[in-house]
Amino acid sequence: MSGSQAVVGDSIVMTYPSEAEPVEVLRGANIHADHGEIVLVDGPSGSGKTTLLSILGGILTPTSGHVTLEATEMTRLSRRERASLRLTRLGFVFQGFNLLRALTAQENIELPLQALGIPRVERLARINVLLDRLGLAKKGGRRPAQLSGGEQQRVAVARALASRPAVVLADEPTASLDRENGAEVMKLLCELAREQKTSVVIASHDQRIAPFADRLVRLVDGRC
Amino acid sequence: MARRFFSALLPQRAKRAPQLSAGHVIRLGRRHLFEDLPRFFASLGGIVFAVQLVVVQLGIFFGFVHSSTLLIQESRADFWAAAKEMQYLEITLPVPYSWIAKARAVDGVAAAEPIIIRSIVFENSNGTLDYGRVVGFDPNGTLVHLDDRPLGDLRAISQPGAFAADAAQLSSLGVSGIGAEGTIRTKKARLVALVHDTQPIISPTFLYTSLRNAVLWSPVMIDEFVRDPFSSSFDVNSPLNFVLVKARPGVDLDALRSSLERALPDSRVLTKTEMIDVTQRYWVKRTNVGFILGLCAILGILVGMVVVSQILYTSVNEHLREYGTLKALGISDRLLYASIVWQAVVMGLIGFVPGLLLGLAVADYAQNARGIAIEITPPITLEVLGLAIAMCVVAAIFAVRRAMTIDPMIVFKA
Repeated sequence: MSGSQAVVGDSIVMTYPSEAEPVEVLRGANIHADHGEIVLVDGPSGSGKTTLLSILGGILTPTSGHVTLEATEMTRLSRRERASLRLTRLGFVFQGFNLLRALTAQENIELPLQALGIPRVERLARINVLLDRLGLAKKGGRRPAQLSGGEQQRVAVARALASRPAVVLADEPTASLDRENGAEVMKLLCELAREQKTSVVIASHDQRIAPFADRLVRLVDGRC
Repeated sequence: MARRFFSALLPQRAKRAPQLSAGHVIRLGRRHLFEDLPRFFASLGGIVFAVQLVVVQLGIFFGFVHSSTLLIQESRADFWAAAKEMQYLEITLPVPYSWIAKARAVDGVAAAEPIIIRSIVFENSNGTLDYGRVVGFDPNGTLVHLDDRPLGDLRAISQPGAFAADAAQLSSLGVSGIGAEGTIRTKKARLVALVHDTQPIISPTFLYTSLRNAVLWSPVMIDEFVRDPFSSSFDVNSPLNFVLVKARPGVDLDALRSSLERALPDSRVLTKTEMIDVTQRYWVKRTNVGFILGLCAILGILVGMVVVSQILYTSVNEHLREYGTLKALGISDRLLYASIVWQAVVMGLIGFVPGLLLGLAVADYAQNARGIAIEITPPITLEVLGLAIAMCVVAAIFAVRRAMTIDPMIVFKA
């Protein structure tokens, strides 16, 4: 693995058990993202993009193959160690935003920072910068239900980037947004990620995302 | 070697990311708990009901147990001597009156007084019958103590046919108050005094009277043929149930007990505490009453557990995606479970206060309406508080199990 590579997926095979016969979703997928690189994983629905993202994020364990996050071989870690690595070195942006509805926008962003033990002053400084950059400076005290879809996804972007992770994994980040909001979210995500040298791996079949990516990876028949 | 051993026991903090503190867990739990206030209050109602049920059931249970030994507790005796077959206060074989003299002759005894406890049927002036226990003792004695402030003249029970009863038992006897008359074994009986807090909840009405009246009213039973089975008046041959013994100050009570046991053949000499214990054990262990009241208390706890369990389970189900998100973000499972348990504990604590107040109101009503002592003391209150919290924590297990099974992949579903 090159020193500039943030995440590498090597020969990833993922087979789901099934009553009829096992379903092989990934058949030796290879992927990598350098530090600060924006990689778009493209492929039709059901091609295994989300599965690949879950494996890169240590949420799913592949049937075979290896995932290396910076210098750490994730597939060898325990479930708890993988969770710990997700907290410290990974960020997530989901199609459905997945904000905690009982918390305000600011608290949602603050949550992983609290979990990391970052002092309050620094937390607030980071959050204020992010909210400002994302055009949400006056909306930090609002709950998700009081925000539009685009605003919620921007909060999710801030949450993913606040801990300054090595990699952000974004699953269909624009699928729930209209064209304008989708473009705005992608612009902000990519801008901020590049600034802090965070890699972004985006799984999407939305062709509008392609211009934001540094590199396009096609996932076809479980391989890329 | 030792260092390696102990370091293996310690959590490997260096390898793990810091995690949310208790404060964050509380904040998350609090938001989940209070985000839907109508649902929260509805669920609180269930907990209040369960706590109230447990408080009242336990209060009845302890009140019943406590009340079964009021006569013993209030006595001024150090020892209660009875036939060795004695089961508890109300079931024993008779012993001869001569035991009084024998007990008084024992070195170290300050006083020895008899008690007769017999079953009777009281018929009031309307012809209504009530099953009762006549408790005969020496009104001029010092070892039986009923009430410092009785209504009427308690010493008047030494008059022929006179008796006292607990004020709470007037309705059971079917009489209106002092001066009421009835018959016991065709003999006139007249209520001359009312006492308070003496009546066991579960026992027949206690009629307190002199030894002579007690013997006069008691049916002669075949196993009570001691010397003069057909005697209908009290004399030295009359059988007794207990001999109450007061020790002189400074006397070694263990030694005195041994002396009493030697002086009273085939006797069972118990300290006051032991006598209380024996009687309470009898009611709790050998009758269905203790079992049923205990069962009701357990049912109350189960109701509470089901209510809390359902609420928490529903809450977790409603927040599946959020718990999944937290898991995906790398928040430790333990802290997620802690937030669920925290919610359970808070529900238990919040539900406890109104539940307890409701229980106290029910106890007050029962005391005023029927003289039934539902005992809700500070130790019982603490016990119920502990039970309420334990009940909620146990109820949280199902919700925690549900949270454990959440697949973090749920976060990828739109």
